[in-house]
Amino acid sequence: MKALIRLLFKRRNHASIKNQWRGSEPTLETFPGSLKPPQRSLADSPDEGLDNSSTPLVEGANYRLPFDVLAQIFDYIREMESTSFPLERILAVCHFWRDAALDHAPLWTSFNARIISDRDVAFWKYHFKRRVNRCGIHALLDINIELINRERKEKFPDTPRGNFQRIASSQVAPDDIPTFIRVLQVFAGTHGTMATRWRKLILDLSRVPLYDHNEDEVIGEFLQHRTPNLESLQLYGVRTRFMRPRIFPYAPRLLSAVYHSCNGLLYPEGHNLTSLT
Amino acid sequence: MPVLLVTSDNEQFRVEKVVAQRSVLIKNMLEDVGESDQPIPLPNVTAPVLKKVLEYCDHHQTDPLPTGDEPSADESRKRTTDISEWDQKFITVDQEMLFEIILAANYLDIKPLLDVGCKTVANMIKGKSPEEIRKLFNIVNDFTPEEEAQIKKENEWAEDR
Repeated sequence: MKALIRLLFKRRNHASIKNQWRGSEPTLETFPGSLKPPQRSLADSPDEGLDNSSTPLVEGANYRLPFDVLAQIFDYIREMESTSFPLERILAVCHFWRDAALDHAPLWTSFNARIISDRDVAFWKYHFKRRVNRCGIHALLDINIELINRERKEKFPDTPRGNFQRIASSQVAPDDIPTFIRVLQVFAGTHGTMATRWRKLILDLSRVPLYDHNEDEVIGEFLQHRTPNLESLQLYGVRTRFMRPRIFPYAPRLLSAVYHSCNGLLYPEGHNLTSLT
Repeated sequence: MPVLLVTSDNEQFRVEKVVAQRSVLIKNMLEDVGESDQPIPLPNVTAPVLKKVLEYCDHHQTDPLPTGDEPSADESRKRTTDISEWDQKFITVDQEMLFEIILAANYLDIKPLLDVGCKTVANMIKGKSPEEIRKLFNIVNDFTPEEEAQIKKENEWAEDR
């Protein structure tokens, strides 16, 4: 019972810290506006005291696992997420899980976007900004984007980091690839506002055919944002044919860079680079 | 040299040091006390759970110890939710024991075991709706109707497609 009370206080403290930390951004509150979490606590219950075993809060297994363990479970769930099973599901389980998830910033600052279909594009358009808004405006982002088009599998062999995997049937038709590529703009934000927060960027275009001038422009623009916080960069199969962009012209903190099967790019000057492949 | 571990329900387990040291907590305690035959109390672990944990430690006694370094971005990307065959069999227990093993692994600081437990729970959750998750783990829905409505709005993506 005492442990339960400690947990309750921990939860309240977490919520209060979280709301301070997130400042006045309405979207960052657990329940914005008039929707306040229920004011339930042992002190509020009719029979106050440590021996009140009838409080509904002791029912169930809401508090069975502590925040740090839940956070680790949620990390794995993030790895398993798909368009039909978004990470946000865990926010809807109970208050404790919700608080544990919202307090675990890496869930909302790390992105593994495997873009195969239009549905994936729509998924990230819907979720990216919402997730970023959950972690405060200064949190740095780790972005991992892989674009895949099955139609061109034969022409674009497996990347050095893994075998080609089975892909859902709703892949993008080659004609739609310019639209497909524009998903990159989602991760850069309007006028590159999100790019200023990138800490790590992995971009894998090894498995998507690029033919078009417009595609070059989209890629060029994506790679030319100001990235004052970028520390680690990995580019795979990024090729431009019609232009030769100088990528990441302002990346003073870049320490590590990997360029594999890339073509047509002018790489950033690496005064601080400790690792270049 | 064997080590004596004492559980919260006062059972004693004599185990090889190399096995006991899979637990970072126990390893640090042994280093602190030096050469001693003093029993090590484990007040947060019961005998049935410790027995199970030691089974895991015994099987994995020759595995390299985790370094504690953060994985690189590329390693993170390759992080898998797969569980080895032996571990899969080992962790096929009732839900109560599963949670107890996870809590014990967390307390004893046995990261690989904690990983196996967390992966197992994550696999159980995968693809389920919030309601199904609650039912699975006997979690009480403590949201008010207004909150539920707000959450449903948040989850529009999942609900509508």
